[in-house]
Amino acid sequence: MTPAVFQESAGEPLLQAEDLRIEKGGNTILSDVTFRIESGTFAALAGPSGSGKTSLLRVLALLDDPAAGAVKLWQREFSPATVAQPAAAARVYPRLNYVPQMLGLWPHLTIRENLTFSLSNHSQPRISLEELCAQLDITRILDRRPGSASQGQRQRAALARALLLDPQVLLLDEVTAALDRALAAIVWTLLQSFVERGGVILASTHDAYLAERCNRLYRISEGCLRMERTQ
Amino acid sequence: MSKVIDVVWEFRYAYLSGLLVTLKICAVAWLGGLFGGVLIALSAEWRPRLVGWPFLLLSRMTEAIPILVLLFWLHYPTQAALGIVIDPFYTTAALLAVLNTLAVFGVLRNALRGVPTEMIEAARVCGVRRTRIFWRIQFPIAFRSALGSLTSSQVQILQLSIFGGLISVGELFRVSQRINAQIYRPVEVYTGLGLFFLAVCLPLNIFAKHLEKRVRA
Repeated sequence: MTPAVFQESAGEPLLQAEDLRIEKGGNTILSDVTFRIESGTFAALAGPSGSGKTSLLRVLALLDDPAAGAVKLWQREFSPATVAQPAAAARVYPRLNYVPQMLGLWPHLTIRENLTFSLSNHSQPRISLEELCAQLDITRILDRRPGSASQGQRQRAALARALLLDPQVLLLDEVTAALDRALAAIVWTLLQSFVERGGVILASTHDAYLAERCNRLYRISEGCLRMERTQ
Repeated sequence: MSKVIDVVWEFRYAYLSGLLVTLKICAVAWLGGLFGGVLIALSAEWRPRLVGWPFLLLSRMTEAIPILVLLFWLHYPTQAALGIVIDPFYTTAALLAVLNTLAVFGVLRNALRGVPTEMIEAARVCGVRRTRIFWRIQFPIAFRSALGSLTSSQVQILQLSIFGGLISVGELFRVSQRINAQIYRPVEVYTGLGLFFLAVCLPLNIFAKHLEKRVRA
């Protein structure tokens, strides 16, 4: 059951950034990052390599501290320090989920075990494992270890692991980078059905075609984030 | 080669008794080291300042002192100062167990720290609790990546066991010295000893390299 604190009303932001400043190695790479993303939004995050997309996603996933500013989820402020406490972490994760560029699949477990490992902690998934894997075309690799799957298959497996946990806010870092256009479009359609159920996705991508299919586009340029388009 | 085989066969019982002592030393050092090293590495993860740093310091100190110096120091001045006499077998086995403990601790510590952050973070964002992350994700991944180095360090313990011979432990090297003193055929005696270590250590080292390669792949 969704905790009361996370029951959002329509139009209220699920994910907010307030005056974020992000530094790396003492240098400011992003500043004055402010946005709010409401439920049912599929937002793309575009920008050249090294512009700070991953750093921003990591701050939003509460994995790194910003140099300044705040991250709000479900209109409550959270930080890596607060989610270091087990009780706070249990309130945030996996309602907030993040798929990194490196994917983080566990190499000693099969793909199936990777997908089901964290399910035991949580309620029954909205979508079954079989159905989701069929949609992502990874059914035949379920009993393989990640090391023997292709990068594209691994990306879809990491995405399936996150989706099975039925998150409300999903942060994706280049998860379709190794997929061909047709497969990436299928993944994008699946993600669109996820946001239609009231979720939020912020996905970094280099693919202009995929970015166009999102209902909001943020672009990072010269250390600033601006909203380029919204529907 | 036939001369080597002749000598080994002629003194087979002496060699076997030496081998038995070598294996006893190794059994103590292997079991003690693996158990102690894993225990300390795990404790150090939870209490880095209380456990990790002191053992790391001890590890660096023992790495800096040659094993022979440590062994002689434990066998002669320490026992004299304490007014006790300890069987050299126990002194050797205890020293090798301590050195192996520190080696296993070091290997595991590095392996635990070497687990890619994104794998731990992926478990965190999936809502997995810290203890479960450690036991089901971090430790198995670290242990797999450490297997090659752990095997190599156990082989090294077998090789280091010959130092026991220098404080009168009747292990393989000491037995070989005695046989050589009796028949004075150093080529055959020490070739036989070398071939024994080659036959045992080479496959184990190849196995260790294979494990390291597999994990890297």
